[in-house]
Amino acid sequence: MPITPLQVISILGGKIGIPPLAAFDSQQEAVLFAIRLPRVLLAVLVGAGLAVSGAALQGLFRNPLADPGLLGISSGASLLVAGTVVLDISPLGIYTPSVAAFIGSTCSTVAIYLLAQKDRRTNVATMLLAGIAINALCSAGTGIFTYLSSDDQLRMLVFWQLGSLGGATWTAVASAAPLILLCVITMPLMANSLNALLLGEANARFLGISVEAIKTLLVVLIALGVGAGVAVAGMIGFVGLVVPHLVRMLAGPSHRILLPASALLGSTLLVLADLLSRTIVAPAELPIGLVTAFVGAPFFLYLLLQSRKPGGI
Amino acid sequence: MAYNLLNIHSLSCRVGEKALLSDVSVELMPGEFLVVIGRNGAGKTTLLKHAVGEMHSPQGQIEIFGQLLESHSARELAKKRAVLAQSTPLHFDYQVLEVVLLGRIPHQKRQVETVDDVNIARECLARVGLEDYEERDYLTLSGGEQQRVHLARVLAQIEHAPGEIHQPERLLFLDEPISSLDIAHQHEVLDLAKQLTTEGVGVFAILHDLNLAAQYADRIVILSQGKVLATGAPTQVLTQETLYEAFHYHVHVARHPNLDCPLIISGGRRNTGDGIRETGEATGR
Repeated sequence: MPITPLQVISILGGKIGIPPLAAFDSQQEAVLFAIRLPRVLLAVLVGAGLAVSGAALQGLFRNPLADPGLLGISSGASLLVAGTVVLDISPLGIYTPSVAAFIGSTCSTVAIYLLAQKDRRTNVATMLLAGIAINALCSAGTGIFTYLSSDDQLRMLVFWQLGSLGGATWTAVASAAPLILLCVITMPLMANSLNALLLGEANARFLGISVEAIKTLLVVLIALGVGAGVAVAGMIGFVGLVVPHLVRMLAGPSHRILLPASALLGSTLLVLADLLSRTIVAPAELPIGLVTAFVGAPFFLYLLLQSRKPGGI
Repeated sequence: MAYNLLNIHSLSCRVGEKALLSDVSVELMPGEFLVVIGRNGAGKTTLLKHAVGEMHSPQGQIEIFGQLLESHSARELAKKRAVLAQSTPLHFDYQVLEVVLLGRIPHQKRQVETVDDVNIARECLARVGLEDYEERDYLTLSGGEQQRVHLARVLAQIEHAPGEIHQPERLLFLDEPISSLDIAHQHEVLDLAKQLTTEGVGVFAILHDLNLAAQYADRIVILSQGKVLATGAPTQVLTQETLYEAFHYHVHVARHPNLDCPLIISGGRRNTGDGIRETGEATGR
């Protein structure tokens, strides 16, 4: 159903009493409100949450190669969500998947952090290898749930694992918005602490930062941003890796700019990626996780090659 | 002076069977330049780590600015005590001025950088001779330049902006700060630290080069196997006998032809038969 930009403005303006600039019919209005608007909003939210979490994760690990997908934080969330779907438990109503995802991603983040830290330094190799292990473990767990699932559940799980905004409803927006907004709005308040952390934990402490408290808070907020996104949109990889990198290239590594700018760019890129995923094989739909992976994975390889050079990562 | 800036009182530290420090007491007065020397593994770094709160030991007591170290608020302490490590792990491509501005974090309310912060950062960058480096990418600097950037950062940290309460007591800890610098820059850094002491800043430095210690220290503490072997003015403690006891290496101590301090010359006597292999440290660089 085609809707022109003017019609979109008119439909939205009509809701707050602005006279329409172009004529539209009620069907267009219904499509915009029930299908397209929640989808765009969900892309905005998920993109912002993943990008901000990625940026914070890289600050926490003092390493630009950290990414929620690569480190198994997304798959930790995914495991618990798959569990709630297949076992059909929802004690918290629409918030069940989000909360389950949050718990899963928190566990993964804490596990990775404990594994990768040695003598208060992050060992990059250990970090990435631990990420592989946790990814494998969570995928195996999710595999068990997939194996146990009914046909309907199976179809849903498969699409959800590939990452998709196809299920965007106002319910999904409502369940993800509070958690992701909490992450995206609170995180920039810790910009200075994250900047100080880039000097190493000891130096951050010498600058008066309560390192332990900040780390705990960071883990919780990262898990919120990633978990809530995974719960509604499945596994969308590489946003958390690519977006902060692009921002750093443009504006430098200071978290005061990096965090809010990552939120904006993450939102923008995910809306664009969703546009691609809906149109590239229309009328069918390509899962958005595949789109981000096709862009993100080569970018990650490029970063790895860069890091081999002196002065690199 | 009302009280010492730093009072380390009979500090002991054991890890397993090994005593890293035993019954070490060190004081530091305002405006004093204190240098700790000793062999590798003598406990210098362990002592510094306790003094800055990175390590804790149940035995002994550390007072800083007249209060127990643990009782200070981290942020208030950060405004008047800075620590420069031997190297700083920073792998992000900050501009040089941004790195120096990180030192102003404890002074900032709601993460807002003021004009004063920027001015102080510029001034400190000029003090370490890097005023033209403001916009350079930190990662492209040489190791020595990076170290001077961090020196500027810690100088900026204990500087107070015009509107701020003046902190008369301030402390600077330097953990082998000059190992990566050439001779001119070594002296530049230590000159700067010495200059700070005239403003009442206490400097606690670990140095490897005995001649630098001799030239700059008001007082030297020699650590040996976790104990204070000697403490006093350079002329008092930098003697052939004491240095042999501390380093198990024979040196010749002469007078510096231009300065009023001892001059340590390595290889004064044959250094054989003592089973000493680490001669590099005692000879200086």
